[in-house]
Amino acid sequence: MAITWTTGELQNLTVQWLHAKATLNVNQQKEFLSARFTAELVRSTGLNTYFDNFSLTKNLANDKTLGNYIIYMPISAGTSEWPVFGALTDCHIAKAHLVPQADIIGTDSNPIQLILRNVDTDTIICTKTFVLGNNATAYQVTSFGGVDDVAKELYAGNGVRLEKSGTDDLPDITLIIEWNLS
Amino acid sequence: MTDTLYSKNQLTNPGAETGDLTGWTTEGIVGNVGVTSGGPSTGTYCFFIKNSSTKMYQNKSYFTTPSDFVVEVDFLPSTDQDSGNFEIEGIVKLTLNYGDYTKDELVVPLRDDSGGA
Repeated sequence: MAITWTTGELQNLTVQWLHAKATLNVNQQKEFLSARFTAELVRSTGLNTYFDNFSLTKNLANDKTLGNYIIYMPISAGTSEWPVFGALTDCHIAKAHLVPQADIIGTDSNPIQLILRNVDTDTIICTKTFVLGNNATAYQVTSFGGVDDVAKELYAGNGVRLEKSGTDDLPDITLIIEWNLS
Repeated sequence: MTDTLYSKNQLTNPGAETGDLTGWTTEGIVGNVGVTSGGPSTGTYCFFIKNSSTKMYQNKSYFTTPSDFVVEVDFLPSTDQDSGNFEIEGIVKLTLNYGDYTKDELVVPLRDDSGGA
């Protein structure tokens, strides 16, 4: 962490502000969901403490995975499956997302379940189950959930399948698969 | 050079330039967090917080996983830290939430460790 001085003002008085900067690494072994940036006081002096120019930036160099693979899936009722990804080189599935054409409303009664499966090892890469309270909003990106560390690995030539179960219709969706070299 | 690898600021209204608390959620006593005139070199306004147990925060959701985040802030303690009072008044905190309900947290204590102007 670094603290430096910078000249500024407060209510038309010239004062010396302090500038703090620090870095936090993201755990790459976990599914990162969200961040909360908080400013708070931990000691009361009865006077104001002042803040300005809050900044939260993310490292772009390592943020993006190598490729986004996007596929449009037609509406489906009942149980279905589709081939959705083929590995042209050794790689792994980093994350998956879906964008539905209409809202998907979760239910506890035979809910829609989507599975991305590594066909060659017959293992589940990630699962999204629309139980009650677990919805997806039309035209917004919804995460497919955490990726299994073993099942995600693909050798050149391996395939991935999307499986759908549950009685409710699945609206048209766009499936986004992020992948990276292994 | 390193700075060019980082994204634009992820925060809404980071410098109080709307003249209010747009984009921020506050907790604590009403009136103990707000906006006034001033700031370091740029802009017209800055934020103030008075009394502990008062906080302001923003939540951000992500679909990709960056390797790291950088947190920065300009601050002005209420006490003269040149007089030898180095007690920490405030903090800026970054909390990362993961899918397994665990968290990582960075706490930046706001005090004068610069060694003077």
